[in-house]
Amino acid sequence: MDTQLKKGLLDICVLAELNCQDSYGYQIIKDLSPIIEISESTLYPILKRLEERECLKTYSLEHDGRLRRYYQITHIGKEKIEEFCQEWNTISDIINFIRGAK
Amino acid sequence: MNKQEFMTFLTKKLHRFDYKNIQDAVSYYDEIIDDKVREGMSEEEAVASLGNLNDIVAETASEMVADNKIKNPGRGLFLLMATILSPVILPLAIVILTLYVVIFAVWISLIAAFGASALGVLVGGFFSVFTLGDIGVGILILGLSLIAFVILAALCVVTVKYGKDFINLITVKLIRKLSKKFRKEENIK
Repeated sequence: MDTQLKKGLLDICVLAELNCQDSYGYQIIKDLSPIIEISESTLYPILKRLEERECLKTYSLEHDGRLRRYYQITHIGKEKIEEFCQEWNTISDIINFIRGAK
Repeated sequence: MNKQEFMTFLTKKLHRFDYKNIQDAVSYYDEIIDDKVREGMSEEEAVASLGNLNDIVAETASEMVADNKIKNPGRGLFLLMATILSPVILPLAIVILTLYVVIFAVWISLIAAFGASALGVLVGGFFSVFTLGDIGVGILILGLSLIAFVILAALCVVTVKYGKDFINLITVKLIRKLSKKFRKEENIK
């Protein structure tokens, strides 16, 4: 997949995962891997970027005697998902145009 | 590579970023490796499953902003010093190089001089023995030539034995030091 396109999709996928429930690094990887190719090192900058844009916030919970960092979606993050889904209509028009031009 | 080794590796590779950034990234991987170990992987397997080490560093750092001017003045300072000092360093390098050449030339001419005089005196000694017929003077001159030959041999031995060390010591060490410094600077980029 085109890297630019994939980058955008990954951001939304991570937000979508968090829209279901708060999650942590390894869980996000496990949930997303069947849908889109993602590795631990690609997830890290995505989480950083989303946090910086205030699409998500983090908190730590103790789990089995150690701290685990959880990621939680914010209203800005939810808006991003909404925006993406609305854009999708336009995108599918574009895809139809591209297919028709073949 | 076990977890601790991986953490140390990552910390080292991210050294140009500030403490918080490094701490954040390291604890992220710490947590994931622990999770994988909990699922039955060994630490080594968990680290290996993260993928290529250099890719990990590159991707992890991709969203970090390195403020070289503030966080790492070393490189800037080095470049500044290099720029300011270059009119000094360059002539200095030329002077040192010239010094090498001069020392080398003096040494070579010393050997050549002793070689020539030893040979000259030897020939002279034979001549005096056969033409003058004065065996005493001849032997004296031949003795002198022997001394000259001994000195020549000593010089040659010193050259062969210590010349290499001298050149190694001065040149190789200097180059190694400079290239090390250069490589260090390269890593910071």
